[in-house]
Amino acid sequence: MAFNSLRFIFLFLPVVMLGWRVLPRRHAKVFLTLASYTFYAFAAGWYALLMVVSTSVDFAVGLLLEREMRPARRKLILLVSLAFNLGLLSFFKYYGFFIDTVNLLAGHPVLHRVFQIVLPAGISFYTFQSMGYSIDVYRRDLEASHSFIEFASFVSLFPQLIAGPIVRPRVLLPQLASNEKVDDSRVFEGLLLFVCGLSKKVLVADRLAFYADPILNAPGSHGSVDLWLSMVAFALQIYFDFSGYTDMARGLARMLGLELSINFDSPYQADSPRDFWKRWHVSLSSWLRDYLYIPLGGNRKGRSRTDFNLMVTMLLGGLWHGAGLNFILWGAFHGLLLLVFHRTESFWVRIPRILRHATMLALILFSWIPFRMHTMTDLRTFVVRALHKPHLPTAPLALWCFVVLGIGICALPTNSNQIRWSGFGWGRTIVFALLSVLAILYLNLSSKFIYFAF
Amino acid sequence: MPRLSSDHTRKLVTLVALVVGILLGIYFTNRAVRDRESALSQGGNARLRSALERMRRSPDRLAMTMTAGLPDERLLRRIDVHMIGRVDVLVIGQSDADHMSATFFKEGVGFYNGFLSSSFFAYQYEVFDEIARARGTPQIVLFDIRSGYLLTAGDEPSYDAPADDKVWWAGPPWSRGETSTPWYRDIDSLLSLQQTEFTARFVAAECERRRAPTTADEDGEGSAFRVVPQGVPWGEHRWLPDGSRLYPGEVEGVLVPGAQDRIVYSTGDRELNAARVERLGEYLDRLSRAGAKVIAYSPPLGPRVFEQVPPPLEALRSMDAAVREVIERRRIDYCDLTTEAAALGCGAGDFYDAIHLSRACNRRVVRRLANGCASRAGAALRAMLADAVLRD
Repeated sequence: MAFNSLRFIFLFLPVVMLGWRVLPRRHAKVFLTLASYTFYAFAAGWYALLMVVSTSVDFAVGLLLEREMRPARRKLILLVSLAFNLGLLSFFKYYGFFIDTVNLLAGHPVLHRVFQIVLPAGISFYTFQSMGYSIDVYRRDLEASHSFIEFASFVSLFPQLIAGPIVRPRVLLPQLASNEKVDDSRVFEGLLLFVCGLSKKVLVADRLAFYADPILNAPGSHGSVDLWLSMVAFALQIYFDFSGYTDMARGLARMLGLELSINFDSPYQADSPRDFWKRWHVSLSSWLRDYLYIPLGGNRKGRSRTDFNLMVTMLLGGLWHGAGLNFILWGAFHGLLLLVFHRTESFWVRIPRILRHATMLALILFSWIPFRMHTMTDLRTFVVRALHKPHLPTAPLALWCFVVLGIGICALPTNSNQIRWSGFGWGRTIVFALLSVLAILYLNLSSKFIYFAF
Repeated sequence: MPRLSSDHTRKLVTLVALVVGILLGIYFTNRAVRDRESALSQGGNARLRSALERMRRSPDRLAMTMTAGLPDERLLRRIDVHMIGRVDVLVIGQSDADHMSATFFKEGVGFYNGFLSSSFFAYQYEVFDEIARARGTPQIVLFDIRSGYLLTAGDEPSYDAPADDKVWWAGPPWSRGETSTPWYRDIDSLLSLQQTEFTARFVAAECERRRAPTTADEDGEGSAFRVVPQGVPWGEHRWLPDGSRLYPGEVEGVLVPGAQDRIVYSTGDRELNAARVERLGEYLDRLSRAGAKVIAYSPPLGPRVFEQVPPPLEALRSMDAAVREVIERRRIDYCDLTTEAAALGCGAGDFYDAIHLSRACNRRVVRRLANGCASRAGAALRAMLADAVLRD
């Protein structure tokens, strides 16, 4: 059951909204947690039980860390949490990749897959969120939660459970602990934000994919113009898909009276690699910065160490997306960009902004190639064909139109974080109603969110 | 329940009411027009029927224009069943078979090409079933089966499914470019809203279809179903009285200028859908039980397919082997010509794209089926083929 399904929009959401608003707050929290687990069970089946275990471990770790004063013991307790969460993630996400890589390096099958593993939906997101909690309590940046229901609700909160944003416990836990009723105008704002996200996903991202996927799925059969056009379409698709999801998640949370962190801030308007990572998947990049890059030493231990820390962070960031060489390449490419940028920042800032912006767009586009091409063969084919001399494009006109539309929206000075939703007048309210109808009618052509795979 | 502030309450209620109201309006309109009989009925398709009648007055000279695609083609077959005569040889399958022609057969042999673009086996069997009921069982069924149409990107519906089964109605997902997560697997409470053909667009199309024929229609203007000459190039798809098709710009023996390369064998999906393969078996059993001699064949792919990097040969062979197993287990002929274009003498100029082949190439395909490839039913087919086809 995804946000872009009729069952969610017409059944799950109204029931949850009703329960959340009419039940006394104490019961409403239990209700919300159960609803979130129900939502998750639709996506991940029995793996919902895994989330119960993960939640219980980190809840217990939090309480133990709060009581324990001896540094060595506290470190040991934290290690239990990290080992559990990372172990879980590694097993489900990297088991097959590990075996394949060993066999590839050995040149013949050395290891065999004992388990056929299906990646549980959202595991990369909720383990990071849960792990962040243990680290914050360990650092004494946060008091341990004493309510299992509130903590379980924090880990499982359905709007952001499957694909983020990865919310910090210090942001969300106090909101869940609060007994304040939902502010009236926020339901309206949240609904508009949800519609905005749904439209981004269904009317733009899925339309782009509809026309570009056949070309990108068979790079060997298409000319360079079509391939580049389709890669631009993919760059737009992934943005509208993921930022659409984020808008829906934030909108849903707002309808419940909760505020989630932003995840996107017009990333294609970035004018440097650093700027890009302050605008793209912000909740992940800031998580990696705070829980990996800075603990590794950040930029405090000399230039070479900074470079090393950056590369490690970006490589792991790439690997977080999926167990594949293509994601490692993608992470390495962005790591390299940041590294070069750090070394040349004084020169970079003297370049006219428009040129910086154009360069960034080209580099980002290039970085999406390994991300989209799932096999090395396809990646090689794409690069060879894309660098071939241009030939007459055969891509449908609709693809060109949607690319132009996508670029137009990306170039707008205001994004969905900045719109003052509560100030919407009647005209815009009606436009949004019509947009909702259109998006709902096109749900039958809507596909899974790209980041559900991570 | 807490009260919303009045301004936001009004806007929120308006927004929700508008959305729900419009959707319910569409839903109930859809319900009213979408049942199988009303959509496919003779009376409900007067313009199409009128054009077909007109075409059949001069079957050697006229053709009927129509939008290519499953919804209209299903209507066409449904109505055609009551206009055609006895059918000795019936072609069913995808649009790959669209250039199989009555001209390949001897005078007096009843032939009908019942191909349906981007169709499930259920739709293809429907053509056979209706012809069998109305005209008797055809002696020979040429069944165009390409393994590439049995991929995971679509679950085969059951022929006996009720009329409002949305898979049955909506058509296969690959025709809309979908991949491995077909939307229709979701069970939801507003079934018809999920169907492309049965939303507002369908309502508009349905109204257009139901309008009574006008003078303009009779004059061959202003209608989706115009009757035009066969022998001169035309800018639209044209259907011939034998059920086959000419492409825009095509006249017999002359390919479309600047043949399009849009359709390529490009799906990344290489996994056969096991359930669909099994369903294929069921339909073959039904055809055999009805008494038809079935010759299944996979038409040749255009040479461009094999220029892909990497060539899909290995995947094709493994998929074809699985399909062959299902067919031959039933002791039914199966001629896999997927990689036989050159051996058949079909060059690049014989392909409109990767999968659609010219009438001349189809003629060679039929000859190959008759001359040994179909060891069981080939002789019966040979007896019906025109001498010129066998001599070439």
